Amino acid sequence: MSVLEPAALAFAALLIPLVLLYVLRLRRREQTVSSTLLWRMGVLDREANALWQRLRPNILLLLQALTLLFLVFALTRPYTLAPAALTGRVVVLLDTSLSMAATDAAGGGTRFEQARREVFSLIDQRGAGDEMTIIAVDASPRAVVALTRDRATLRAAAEALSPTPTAANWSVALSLASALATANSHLVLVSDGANPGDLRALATPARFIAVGGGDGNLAIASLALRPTVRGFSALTRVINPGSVEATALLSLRAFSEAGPGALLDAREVRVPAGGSAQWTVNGIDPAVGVVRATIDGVTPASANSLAADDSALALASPATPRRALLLTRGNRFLEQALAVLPNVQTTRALSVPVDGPAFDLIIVDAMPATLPPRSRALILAPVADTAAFTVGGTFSSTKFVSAAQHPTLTDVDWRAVNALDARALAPALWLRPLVEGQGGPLLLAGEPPPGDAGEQAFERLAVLAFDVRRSDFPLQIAFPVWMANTVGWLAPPRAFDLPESLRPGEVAALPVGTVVKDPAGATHRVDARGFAETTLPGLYGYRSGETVGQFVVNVRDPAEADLRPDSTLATTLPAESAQTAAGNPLAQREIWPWLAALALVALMVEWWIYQRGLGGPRRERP
Amino acid sequence: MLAESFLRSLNRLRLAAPGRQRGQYTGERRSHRFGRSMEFADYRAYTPGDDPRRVDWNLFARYERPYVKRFEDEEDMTVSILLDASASMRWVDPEEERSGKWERACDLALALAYIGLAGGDRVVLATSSEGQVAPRRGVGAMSDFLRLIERETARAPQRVSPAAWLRRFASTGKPGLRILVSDGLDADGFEDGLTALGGRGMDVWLLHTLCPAELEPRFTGDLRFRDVETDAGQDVSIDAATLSRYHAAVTRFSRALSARVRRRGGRYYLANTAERVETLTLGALRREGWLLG
Repeated sequence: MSVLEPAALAFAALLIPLVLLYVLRLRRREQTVSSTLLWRMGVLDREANALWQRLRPNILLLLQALTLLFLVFALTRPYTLAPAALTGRVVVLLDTSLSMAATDAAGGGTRFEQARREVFSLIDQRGAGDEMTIIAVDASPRAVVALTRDRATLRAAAEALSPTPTAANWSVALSLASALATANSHLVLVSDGANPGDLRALATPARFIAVGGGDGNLAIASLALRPTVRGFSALTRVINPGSVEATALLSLRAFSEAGPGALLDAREVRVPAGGSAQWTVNGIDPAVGVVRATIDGVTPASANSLAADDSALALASPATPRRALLLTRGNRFLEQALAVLPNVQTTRALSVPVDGPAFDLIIVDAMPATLPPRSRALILAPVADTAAFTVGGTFSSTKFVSAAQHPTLTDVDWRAVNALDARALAPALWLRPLVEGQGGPLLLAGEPPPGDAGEQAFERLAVLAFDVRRSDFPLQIAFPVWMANTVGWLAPPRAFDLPESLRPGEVAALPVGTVVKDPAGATHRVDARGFAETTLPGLYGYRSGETVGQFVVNVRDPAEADLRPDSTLATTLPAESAQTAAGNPLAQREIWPWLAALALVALMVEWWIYQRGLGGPRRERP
Repeated sequence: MLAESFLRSLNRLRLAAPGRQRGQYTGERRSHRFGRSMEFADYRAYTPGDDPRRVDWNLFARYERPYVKRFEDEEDMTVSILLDASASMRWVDPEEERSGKWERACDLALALAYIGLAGGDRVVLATSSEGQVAPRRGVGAMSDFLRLIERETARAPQRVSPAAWLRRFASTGKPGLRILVSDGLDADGFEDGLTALGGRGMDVWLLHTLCPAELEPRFTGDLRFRDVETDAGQDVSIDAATLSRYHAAVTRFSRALSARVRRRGGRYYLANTAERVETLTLGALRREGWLLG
């Protein structure tokens, strides 16, 4: 507390005349009595210290002095520093990221619960005409309520929020807040500051309300399964960003939606402060499918205040590779092109194995071959007639004329391709020429329509009319691209090529129309933006036509796992005014009206006591 | 001043005799002198000059020597009623219109005088302002006492030293019972006068009259008291403690006077002048043994 007008304290000198009026007895009444003899006898011993006796405790004097002091103190205009009330348009950015679920908030509970109480306080402090916006800040920041004056709506919106297992995307959140801010706006960031991001670009005055304070957390940073000669090998890495060494029981189980699942292995790990620990488990049966690693029994308990990152999933059976059969007498270009294609397992042969496994794709390189029915095939430099075309002579005028739009030609520049010669083909109607040369079609592709004669022979077919070894096509960058496009068109992957594990909020690149079932059992249909509803950690299943697969979403964000408060956040923000240690701006709140009211009360009490004669000896008031 | 009915009720009362007192006339009270009353006291040998009628002839016949009978002589008693008429006795309480204290003191003095007269005593009424009615006998003398009181009430109080007045009365006044009606308030002190008044074996009764304003003052605030007799000022700030000390001073003062009077066999009674004279005489003074009957 301090005062604005210290000079007013000089008025306290009025106490002196007030006391003197009591001491000097300027208004002593005269009273005739029969004799002063008895009075002299009664007051004799009091006369000796009469000066001090007159200053004996007198409640009226005390109350008058109190009134004077209250008034003098009010004149000094004392004030206290208190959090400034927000006015105008207030934009609250409420951190709903993973770290806000930590249970180390002041007064117990989670950081988010503490943050929500702060938001409630802001809602209650604002004026009736002030608008408020609340932005939930997680991986996908959004305004849950915008430009609203209704307190009930604001409270309900804040009440409905909860921490998500994602990292806070502050840059997007602040962009959104800046868009909503006006000249008289204030931004309020309610966060644990654990992942502040770069806030330097913020132009609007902002204050930061920090929540939380601990840093203890153990997290599974990664869980990976790798195939070995004897099943799978699981590598688990546990990190401890906190400042206290911790021990924990690390378990590896077969994933089960119904329960904890069969225990594969478990061990106690000791993780030093700020360090990590790794653990490898070998010989996991691929039939397990999905494994779960969990952290339990952390000692000390305060070393792990965030539970959301204490488990992770991994798939033991990644996407099934596509099997390709290459019938060739030797073509290095083709073999290399196929080898670099992901998830394609190529088998080289001179003919189709009679009892071998089924192939997703057969590539015939300039040799006669008998293909199984309904094959998906790429035929290069055909030498024999098929149900889809007949082979004529050769032509050497292979100069590029035109190219059609087709998936196999995506990002393929055919104009620079030169070939010595090419087979003259007479294709069926459904086998559409894609690239035309001056002498005839160079590339053809198509699917036989239902009921066509070629339907029994081919399911899909692509035909390159020349031998790649007699051209400069393999030397062009277009060649591997064309090979990848063609393999992908002929034999689409059964499971999509997704990362082994996604983070919450990360978009899964699934085709439009794919149906995804999340860990909670809800189904989603993927739109053109991909599948972004990956907010729940766990196992997701999907189906897209014939393609069926799984992927997992794990909470593995080292930044969110690090719960240490970032002290740089408050200083990073543009200053609004004076800030407390917590970063809240302060305002001077004058308290003189309260003192004036106290003076009035003291005066009324003094008057009441005087009127009732309760102030001890009744005497004249100065 | 005193109602007729009240005076009638006083007829049956007598002042309690303080002992054998010497009087001028044969009265109704026994004297220490042997005399002519009918109560036998003693024998003594006959000496020339003795009344031969008082010779006990039966003893003369038995012992052949003359013996004279001695009888307890019965004489009247002189009751002196001394009324303090100083300014303090005439002081008017601010809460009263008249001085109730002076009126009550006059009533008490007249009532005691009437009781004495009715009991056959010789009664003297004297005031401190030198007014005095010579010894009287019989209730018919009440008119003289009343006139003295009326004159005293009509005149302004005079500054008289009570001690000097009492000493003077003790030397010139009649012996017998001396009843002093006074508030005892004097700047120079009352003790010497009381001592002189009780000299030569005289009985002194003190009827100490104080008014309610003196017994239970109800002043408040910061005051300057002005003594009505000496005009001296005394600053007093009244609070509970001051009042408590004042009450203690009144008690000490009363006890001092009482002790001085009782030491010589006298009587003392503190009368609150707020009480009715009937209550004081018929009630309190009878209970205290002042009055018989």
